[in-house]
Amino acid sequence: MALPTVSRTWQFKNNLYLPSLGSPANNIRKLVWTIKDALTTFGTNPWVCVASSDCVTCLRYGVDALGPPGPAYDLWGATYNAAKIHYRASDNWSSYDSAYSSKHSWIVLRNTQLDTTYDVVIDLYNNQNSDHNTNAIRFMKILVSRSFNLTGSGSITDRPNPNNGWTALDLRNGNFDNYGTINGQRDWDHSYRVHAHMSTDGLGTRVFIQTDGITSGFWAFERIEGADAAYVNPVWAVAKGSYDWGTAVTSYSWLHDAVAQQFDPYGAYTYGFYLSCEGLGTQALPEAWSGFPNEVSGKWALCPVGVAQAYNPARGRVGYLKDVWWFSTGVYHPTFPSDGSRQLVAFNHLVVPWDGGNYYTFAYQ
Amino acid sequence: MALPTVTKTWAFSVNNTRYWNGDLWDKRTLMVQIKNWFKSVGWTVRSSCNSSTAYNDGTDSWISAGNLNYNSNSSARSWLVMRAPAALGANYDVLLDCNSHNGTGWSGNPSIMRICAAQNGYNLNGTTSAAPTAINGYQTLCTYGTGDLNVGGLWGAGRHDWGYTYRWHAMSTSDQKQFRVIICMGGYAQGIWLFERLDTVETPAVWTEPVVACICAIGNINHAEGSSGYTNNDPFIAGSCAYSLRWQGGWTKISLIRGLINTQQVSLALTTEYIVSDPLATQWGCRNEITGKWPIYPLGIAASDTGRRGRQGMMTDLWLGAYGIWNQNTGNPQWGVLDGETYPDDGTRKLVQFGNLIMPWTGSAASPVSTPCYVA
Repeated sequence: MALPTVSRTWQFKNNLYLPSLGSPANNIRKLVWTIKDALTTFGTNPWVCVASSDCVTCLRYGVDALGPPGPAYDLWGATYNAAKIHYRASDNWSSYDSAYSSKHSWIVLRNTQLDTTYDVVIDLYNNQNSDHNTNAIRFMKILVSRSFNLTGSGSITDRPNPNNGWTALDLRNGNFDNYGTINGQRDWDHSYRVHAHMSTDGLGTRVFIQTDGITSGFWAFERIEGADAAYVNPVWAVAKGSYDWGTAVTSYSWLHDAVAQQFDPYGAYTYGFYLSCEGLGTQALPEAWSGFPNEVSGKWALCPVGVAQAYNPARGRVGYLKDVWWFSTGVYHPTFPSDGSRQLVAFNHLVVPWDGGNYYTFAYQ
Repeated sequence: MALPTVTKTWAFSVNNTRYWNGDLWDKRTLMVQIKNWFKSVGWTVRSSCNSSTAYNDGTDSWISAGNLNYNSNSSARSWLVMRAPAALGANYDVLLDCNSHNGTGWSGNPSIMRICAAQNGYNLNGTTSAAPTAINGYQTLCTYGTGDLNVGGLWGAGRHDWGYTYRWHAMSTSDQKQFRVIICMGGYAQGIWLFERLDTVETPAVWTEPVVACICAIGNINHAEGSSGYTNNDPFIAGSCAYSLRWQGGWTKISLIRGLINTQQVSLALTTEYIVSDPLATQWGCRNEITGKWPIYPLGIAASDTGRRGRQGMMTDLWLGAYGIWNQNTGNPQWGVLDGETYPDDGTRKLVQFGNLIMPWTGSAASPVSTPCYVA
């Protein structure tokens, strides 16, 4: 199989190294700020901040006269400041931010290419405290909607709500498991490495979060291509974090064999999406022959990724994702082609474009 | 999903009928009919035997059903070798051997036909009691002695002595690279013959003669009942041999498709788009619930034998669709797309579906399957 052609132009922020700060809570503060900073500082069509809270102040586009969406509404700041990012004190991590009671930090990032007002909310709020086991604590919500109500909702104690007729999808639900520290339990201390990618057309955003060689977190907000006109601006959104040590989320088991998260292709519905792959027998094709290339051509199988909804009354294939391919199991983190040019790289079972530079998977590399 | 584009020019011979005559003669006559169709689209007879005389001079001694005499291995019997047009393969031969030696048909009834293919051809060395041997031993497809490939009773209950009315359809491409025969009876597509050269192979194109062959016949006309009184014994869906053309669980039956990849005989399976452990086309047996359109997916093909494992190419003008289920209690479709239904649904009949397989159709002819078995 020839090396697949990359169809979008990608911007990269690779190998962002986040050494442990000594506590899981502080590690996550820095991690979410880093992701926010990466998404909002891409050169072309970056995500823009339209609202935020730092527990002291709340700024919202359309309410506060600070001009167009952008850094003016970003209370988390252009430079990392732990004092701006607080968890809700009533949550299990209250010991870290006990002084803030119900106040907590949140931020709304907007993408106007995926839809007119496609918003993502990172909300350091948690009202569930025993998701995986007694020591694994969810620490934030990540929500998406095509329209959040910034003028009628949002305060230092509550993130904005969606406008009428639209759904705020809590990506934490279902299989979104941002337990603990995106790799293990809440009291496990990790260093992280983040790779953030965004296409210049704004239609593809991916964030890979790695600890100890494992892609333990994966966020993506992408246009589903090739969809029938019956689907209006279909977007695939995912925010997954593993809860077990050593569990990678960019895998068949998390994305192909299970609901890969959801977004409504038309408005008020939420359905699970599976990422499809060419297969035979009972497996995806690259799974069937794990760890070695095609024995005739000598080439690795890189299979296109489709998107299908599996729930009545919206069953059926929606379309496909650009510039991502399924890869063989049993081989970890190779780059493609094999000439060292690193045009593509594998995050576990998913292969995506790369900038040709070094690829570090372990946080300490 | 838009209707896929047919890439080749196809010639058809459809709705051919062999009416029930009550015994094995049905099947013999059917075989003569199919053989004659192959000749009509460019295949030639290289050698044959009517059990009395072996002809290694190109004579076709299978003129009528009476020339097809079955017998066990090493006994006087009929056989015939026909050579494909060079576009399929330079010396590609298919052997039809009335060898009923192997009694592994349905319920122990003898198989009545051994069908083999040899990519380098057969020697002209057949006798009345021995079919020709393959040159260099490269015999890539053979029903003999392999349970899955037994043409058990030759479409119909696995019983060599049960007769049925058949309707069969044949099609080939104008470039003589693809040949297909679909055999229907009892309202179902019961068998498929397929000899095809892959137009699209994986690169680099190491596979120099990418020809695949399939002989599949369901062995049981009794339509083993599925749950809730529905029947699903269709050759291309669960519970029958042709189901394993693609996705039968495990690897046990993918040998239905055979090929020779650079001196190694391999088993091949069709590939298609999956989620979890099943093809998207068969996940729900329904239209896309948003677009209202039936699923039609391209088909790849992959080899499974050590040394040749991996996806090897794409099938030409062949797609996978959602299968349908008859309600045997009412005789009406229960859901899905049934054998013989055509696409698009405007009556233009550009494509037809047999089991899960969708392929080009004439654009005009209807009624591609016979009457369903189960009618209230």
